[in-house]
Amino acid sequence: MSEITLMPAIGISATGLDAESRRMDVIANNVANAQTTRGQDGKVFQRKEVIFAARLSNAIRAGGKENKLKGVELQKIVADERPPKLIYRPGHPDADENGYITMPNVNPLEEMVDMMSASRSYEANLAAVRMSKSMASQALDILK
Amino acid sequence: MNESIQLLNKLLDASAMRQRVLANNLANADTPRFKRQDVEFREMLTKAVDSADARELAVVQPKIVVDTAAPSRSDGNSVSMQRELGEMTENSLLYQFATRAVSRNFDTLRKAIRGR
Repeated sequence: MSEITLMPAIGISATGLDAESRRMDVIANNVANAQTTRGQDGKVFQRKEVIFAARLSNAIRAGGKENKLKGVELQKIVADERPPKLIYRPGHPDADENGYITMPNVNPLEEMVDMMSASRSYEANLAAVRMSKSMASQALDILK
Repeated sequence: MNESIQLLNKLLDASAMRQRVLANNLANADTPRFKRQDVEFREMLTKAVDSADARELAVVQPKIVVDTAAPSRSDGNSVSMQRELGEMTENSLLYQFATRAVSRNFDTLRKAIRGR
């Protein structure tokens, strides 16, 4: 028998909304820290990247049963290991003996593109929620 | 009467399941190496209806399959947001059709009971 839940598809879409909005947080944090030379550990800020993972894995192995469809999860937030930029700014207190400071490896253009992609995915999940909701209300209308 | 309700029941079950699978595809639109999935039931249902055997219909079970034909992006993901949303719209129309047909069936039944 299928699940008792009225609208399980909404739960699945909610995991997508959650993951995309957390991705958006990480991107916003990258942009905000584009000039941060002293991060939490006292070193120059490193760009962060999210890792998404499907929360299903064995839906197919379970003989095509659907109870293993669980959406997506933000598995990890990892640091981008690309080298930081060097900028000549001798007056800066964090400058080395040659007058160069290490700036974060954040590229605002890249972040903008990521942000657009995250916001589109968010919208798509939202559209899915709306459709699932209208389906559930149609099912309730049978009772009228 | 009974059979057509049973058929519509199957249709409702299958399209609700398909909605979940499509929602899951969309949720994983940015998951690397994720392959889109779909539900197989149209062929099975058609076959069961063609066989005109009520028992055949009772055992029809929609199945989740990996869509191997869909092209993958460079990150190995084969979800296309446009496609999922399009399929979802179509699927929700099918669901709407089934719910209306069920209501219609019950209306007819009610009329028969009242005799008018």
